[in-house]
Amino acid sequence: MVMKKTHIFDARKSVVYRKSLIFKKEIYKLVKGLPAYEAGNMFDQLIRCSTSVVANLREGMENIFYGKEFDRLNTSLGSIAECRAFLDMAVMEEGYLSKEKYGRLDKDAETIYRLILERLFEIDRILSGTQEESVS
Amino acid sequence: MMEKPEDFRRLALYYRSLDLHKAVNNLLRVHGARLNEVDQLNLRKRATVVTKKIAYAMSQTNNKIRFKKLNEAKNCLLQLKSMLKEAVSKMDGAMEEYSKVEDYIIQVLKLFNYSFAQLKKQRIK
Repeated sequence: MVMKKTHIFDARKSVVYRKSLIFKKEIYKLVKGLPAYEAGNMFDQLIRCSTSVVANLREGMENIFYGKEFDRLNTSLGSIAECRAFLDMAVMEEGYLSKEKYGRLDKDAETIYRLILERLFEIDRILSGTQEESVS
Repeated sequence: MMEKPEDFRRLALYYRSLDLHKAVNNLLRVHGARLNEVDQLNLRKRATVVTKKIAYAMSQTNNKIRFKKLNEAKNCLLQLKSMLKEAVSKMDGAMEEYSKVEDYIIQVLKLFNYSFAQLKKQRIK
């Protein structure tokens, strides 16, 4: 049976959505400092994956079906993992990213990852009938 | 119930692909002057995409998507291998650096096969 939500959550009030927006802004600042030859490669892909996190989060949260939210959040989870992989690649190259900035951005990304995962588990419990839907 | 996805940073496959990315970038930095910009960009892109797809695949909760993304990453690696072979023939004195890259490619391919075997085992269970 397809499970529908009883109310649609406002994504703007969610911590993970706000954190991912700030993270996206930080990534946009970071890519400006990348060398010119990364324009078609790391530059593009970092922007794409950080945008994908935010877009999929909102699409999932403001959807009426739990199944769809699960799917979108799963995509978001993949995208935030991609961002972390790019941060790893950037810190390994000389002059791309400082260690301190890497530490800060990676910590933010990890927080977003955990929050998305938490919500995924919550949806899974709702879908399997072991948890009631929360209204707040 | 949903299982917690693996932390991709604990996987040897991910770390070897990062090493491969760095080795490809080093090779191009030292000997890439003989290649045109498009060839260089394509090689860099392939090396980046392999790591990116591994991270995406391993953080997935859906096994089907995980399998699909890992397959895509493996295909990308094979493309990188053939493109590098062609590129190295244009670069003089790059054989030493290239042999390092080739070693990493072989290691990553072996780790891919191991990951596929693990995924198949999970499916059978």
